[in-house]
Amino acid sequence: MSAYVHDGTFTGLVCALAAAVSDPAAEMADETPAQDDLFAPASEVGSDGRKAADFLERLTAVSGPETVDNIKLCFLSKEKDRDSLLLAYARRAFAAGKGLNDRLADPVVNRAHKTALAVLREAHRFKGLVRFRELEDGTLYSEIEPDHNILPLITNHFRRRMAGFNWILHDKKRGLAAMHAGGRLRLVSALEASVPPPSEKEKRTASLWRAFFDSVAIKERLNPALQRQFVPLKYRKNITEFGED
Amino acid sequence: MDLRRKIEILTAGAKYDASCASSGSTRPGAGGRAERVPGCCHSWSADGRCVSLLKILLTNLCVYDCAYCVNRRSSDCPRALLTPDEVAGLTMDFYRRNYIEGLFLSSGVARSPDYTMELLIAAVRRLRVGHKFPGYIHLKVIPGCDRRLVDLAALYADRVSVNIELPSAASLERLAPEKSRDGVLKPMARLAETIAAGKEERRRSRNAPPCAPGGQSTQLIVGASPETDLQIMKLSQSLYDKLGLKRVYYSAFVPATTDSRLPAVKEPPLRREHRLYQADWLLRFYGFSTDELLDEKCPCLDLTFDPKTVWALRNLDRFPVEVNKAPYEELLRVPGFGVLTAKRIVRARRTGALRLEDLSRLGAVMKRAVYFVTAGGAYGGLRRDNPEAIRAKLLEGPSGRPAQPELFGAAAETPAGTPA
Ligand code: SF4
Repeated sequence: MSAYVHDGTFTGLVCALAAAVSDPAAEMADETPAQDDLFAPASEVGSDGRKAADFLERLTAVSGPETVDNIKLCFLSKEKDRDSLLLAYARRAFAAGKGLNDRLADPVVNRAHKTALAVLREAHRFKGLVRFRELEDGTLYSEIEPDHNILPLITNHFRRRMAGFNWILHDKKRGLAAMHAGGRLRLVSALEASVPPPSEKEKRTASLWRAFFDSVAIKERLNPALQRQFVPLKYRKNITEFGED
Repeated sequence: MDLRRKIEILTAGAKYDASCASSGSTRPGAGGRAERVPGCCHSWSADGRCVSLLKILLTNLCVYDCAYCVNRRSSDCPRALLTPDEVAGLTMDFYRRNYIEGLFLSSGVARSPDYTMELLIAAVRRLRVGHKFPGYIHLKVIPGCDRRLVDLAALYADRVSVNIELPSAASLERLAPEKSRDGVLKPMARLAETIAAGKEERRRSRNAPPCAPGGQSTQLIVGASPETDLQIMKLSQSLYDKLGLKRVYYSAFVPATTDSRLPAVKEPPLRREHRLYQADWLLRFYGFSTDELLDEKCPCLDLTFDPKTVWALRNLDRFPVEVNKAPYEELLRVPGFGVLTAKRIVRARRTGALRLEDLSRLGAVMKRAVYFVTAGGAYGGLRRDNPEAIRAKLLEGPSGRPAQPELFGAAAETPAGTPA
């Protein structure tokens, strides 16, 4: 029995799945394998774009395009046993064929769908929760710390919404950033340099927004528990209206 | 007066308007502004309501004296007025920072309906033409204003609304004597006409100017006047059927004023408002009609149980429904099944027979559904022909004690975006 590890990229993961799926005894090493585990050596699989694309094509052919969509979304999730789940899901795909994604009562299919949905939900939520602040040079800058790696899922939304502006979306947790300048979008994996100070107008605009936000709540209906359900505390430190003047 | 103070006053004056305006009928960002509806909330205020728009009054000055309104002429409150430029500038500043998806602009009646409407139009024109604002605009149309202004509202806004507020002509006459039923209904009819015509034109030419692509909505105040839920739901149904409204919003009357013409209520009737939203949801998405939910004998929605459960208990001869066979429309009518659950069941049963224990994984709230379904013939409830026994069971909490009926229902029953 061997456990597969990969380089952490999507291509790497897919190659590992491709290798593991044909070996019924194989497992995925969800974390870096334990050092002292002599009996289950980890085999590192290379990252090969062609091989990965072939495997995804095969998956689509046997079980339909939804399977690959789900794998892509699950890849972005923070689930610790993500790779094991995806291996089980890929195995199910070859066993069940076209009907795979209708088997919502199957625990593996069900979890793959739910995990994908959780990632999509967080991405959707962040389309609203992202807050930009205007920097000295006019760039709009935003810091986010999402549970899942949703940055790749929301950049297109902001690209459309803020086509005419220069902006930066910075995932501080993962050190990833999407930078939009002069109409071009770049994804960078480490944001260098420190963030310039905010523009002169920024403080006043943020304060006017907080004035609005505080007055809009109906005092007779205060419901902080419900508010927490929608805006969990963990997100609040990057959200303007939960900050102070 | 400084801008901050104005914002505080004019937000306070606008917040009782329940329209959340996140209609979700069209996917956000699916092209130009014509198709856009704010599909996401940007924040949630301390009362747990979705904030996606800068919801504000242009002014809370008003020459009218509606009994239920905080902004009425005789009310002794601080007054403020924003200039069209201020409205446009704030909206743009907030939009760029992703605080909001757009603007929800309403107003008291300063001087006259036409004068006020001109100012409102100036603000949204400044936004659209001056700032090239691509976001969402919901604009209130002031009852009694000129037809030409109604048309301009539809030109610049994504959604327009005229608030009916009181669900009958008699109540309107009593509580808002200066607003006539005609003044309210005429612009609504005009909007219905132009919106339909605009749609037709855009079908023929993609370059035709947009015309309130998000349609028209309205609001009814619940509990300030004696109308029954039956009357209210009948009105809503005809607004949906005859004027093609996108949404009717219900707003529990918050006694913000004292007036001898108003009922003495201590608490806003929130649960009643919630039930009306559920019933409204059943009309629009679950294939129910008002007659099935309410009649002259029982003209009020049950406060203990949601309207679908009440309907099911009255129609036990139609249950239990076999989840492996029943058509989609029948699954939708099972208490504890939402639209998503019904869809998942139809999908999942194609690959094999479902068992009762599979259903909660598909999103069903089995606590309620168990009395109304079988799976492969197996029934998990008790005494399927005895509504009283089921009613008592449904009221029981997990420990056998009566449960607190939840105000916000189960997630499966109240899709996100429903104003709570
Ligand atoms: S016209 Fe509108 S703002 Fe004026 S008192 Fe009546 S409800 Fe209030």
